[in-house]
Amino acid sequence: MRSRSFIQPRKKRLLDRMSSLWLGFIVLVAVGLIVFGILIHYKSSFYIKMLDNLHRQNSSEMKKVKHLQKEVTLMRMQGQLAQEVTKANEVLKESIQNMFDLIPDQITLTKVVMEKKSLYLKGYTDSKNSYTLLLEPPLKSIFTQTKVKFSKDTKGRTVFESYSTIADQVSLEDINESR
Amino acid sequence: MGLLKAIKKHLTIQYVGVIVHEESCLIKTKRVKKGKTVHEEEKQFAIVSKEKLSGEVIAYLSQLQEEIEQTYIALFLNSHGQGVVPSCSKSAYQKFHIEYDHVKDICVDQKYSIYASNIDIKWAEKIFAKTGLDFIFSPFLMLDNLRKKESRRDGIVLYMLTSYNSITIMIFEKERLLYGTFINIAKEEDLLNTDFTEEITEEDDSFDEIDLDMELEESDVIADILEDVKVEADVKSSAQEEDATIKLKLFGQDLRLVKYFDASLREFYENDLYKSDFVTYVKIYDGTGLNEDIVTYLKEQLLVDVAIRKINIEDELIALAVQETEGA
Amino acid sequence: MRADNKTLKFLIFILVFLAVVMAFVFLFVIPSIKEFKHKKAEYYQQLKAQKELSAKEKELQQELQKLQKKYAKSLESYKVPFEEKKFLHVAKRYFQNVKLTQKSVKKTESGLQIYEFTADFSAQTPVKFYQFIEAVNHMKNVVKINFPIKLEARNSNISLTFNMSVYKL
Repeated sequence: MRSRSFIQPRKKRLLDRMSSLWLGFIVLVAVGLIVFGILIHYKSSFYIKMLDNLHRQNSSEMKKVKHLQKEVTLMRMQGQLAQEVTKANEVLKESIQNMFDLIPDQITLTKVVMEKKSLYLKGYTDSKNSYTLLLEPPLKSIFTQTKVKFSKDTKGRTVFESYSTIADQVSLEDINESR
Repeated sequence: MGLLKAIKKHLTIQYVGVIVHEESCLIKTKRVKKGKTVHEEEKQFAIVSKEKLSGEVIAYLSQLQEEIEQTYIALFLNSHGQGVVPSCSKSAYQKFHIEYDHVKDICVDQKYSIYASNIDIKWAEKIFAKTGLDFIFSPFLMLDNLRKKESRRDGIVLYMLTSYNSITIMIFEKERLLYGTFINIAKEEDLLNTDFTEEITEEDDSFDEIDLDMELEESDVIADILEDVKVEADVKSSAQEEDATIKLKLFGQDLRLVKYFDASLREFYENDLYKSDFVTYVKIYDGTGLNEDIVTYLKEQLLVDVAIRKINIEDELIALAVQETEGA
Repeated sequence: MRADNKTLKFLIFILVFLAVVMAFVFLFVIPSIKEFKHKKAEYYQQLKAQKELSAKEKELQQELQKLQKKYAKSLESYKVPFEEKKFLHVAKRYFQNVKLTQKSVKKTESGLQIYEFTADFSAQTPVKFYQFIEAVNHMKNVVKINFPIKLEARNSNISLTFNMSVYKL
């Protein structure tokens, strides 16, 4: 419909000044908050990215460290083992030496079976007494238990068979180590 | 835009009709929400002159607009530099000796056009500069609007709209406008048919002098004085009364109204520019409270049916504003 | 009437404003800030972890070097291939008969292989045995003499039987 007025009407606002100001203000604040939220989110995504990197780095570093740890342990074990071996051999040597030192002249050994916790001796002695007086006491002092069996061989010699053991907690090595 | 329209429907629209007279200003406000009128208010203000709205008026209009955003202010144009031309073409204006470049025209129903002088429009915009103005409506538009509400009559019908200080006349044959004029009846014009005047004031000589020579104010004052004398005169010339073909008790403005009416009718009949034939029916839309005698006079003078309907100019003005905003 | 309306409108606007602000703060701002704080804390945590790991690595490297130095000789000896012939050659210095029988190959948790042997030697005197053990300790390989050790008088010799472990990489 064409206008039938001599002038055109002014444009009307939908909302009055107060309402539109308020609306504008509210929208502004809302937008401001959204923007703020987005900025913060943006900042945290920055951290997330860095975190990702770090995570990866750290996990590979962790692997490295674990590996190193293993190496160190291994090396230590190996090193100690070598030392222990030498020591054990030394101790062994001493035990054998000590054992042979124990044997008086009156006794001749024919068989020796040395175990970690036991000692089997077989040989002949000129008399039972020699064994009992000369060999048995030291054996008793070293071992927790010792038994002996006497017999006569074809040549009429007194044969003894002794079996001495040490209680579980202690072993021959330990005893010799403490000497 | 559909959403906007939907929202607008729930808003309150305020229509403000303003009629500016020489010394007063009438403002009617109507608020409509969802098609229902929720508030109506009418106020009259005194103003110093037609050239400037008083501070009171400006404050009132500003306040109204502050309260409601969707406010449309409509002005009833009652300046004399306006009229109608029975055609919408520019050449018609030439034919009727109207400077096309000095007026603004509105074509109505593609049949005739209403015009108003640019000076008057500028005046309106100037006095409303501080408050703002949305519509300027021609009284012709108002009359045409009123006319359309009734059933069509055959023959040549004269429609008249009377408002404070002015009359608007439009003569139609069916839907075709033949003639129209807007007259400010507050003042005397030189272009009166004096013969005609003499005929009317046959009864009393004193009227003669008054009507022809006196200024507006003076004639009104004297008319008031004479009214008191009127009774006596009536008694005196009771004998003459019976002889008198016309019993006239019209003074001042009423008289002028009749005079101008006759003058315009004469113009219609005698001016070759207008295709004319005898008026068969007169319909008056009365916004002022016409004197019965005028109606009687017109009936007897024109020998036609005269129907009169009381209307309220402010309400019709607002109706025009409502039409403008709803149509758009 | 109008004044009331305006006040009411104003109140409504304030309420709406507060509601909007609350909503946005709780829906957007607070979660965002929380996330930010979390991530930042996590990040610094990881940073700390990195530092610690790095220090640990350095520490371990140093440790490794220290051990490397300390056990250089031993570690080298693990690398030396065990040659039976050479071994027996050394044994021959102390014993008359020398015989070595490989029993098995095992693995230790320290990443070494154990070659187990049974040694069958015969000597004149047991003294040779001690000397032999001494010699074993001075060998390039890591050789352990194990129990049981059997000594038996045979004819005019002492037969010596024992188990032996050779540790190698």
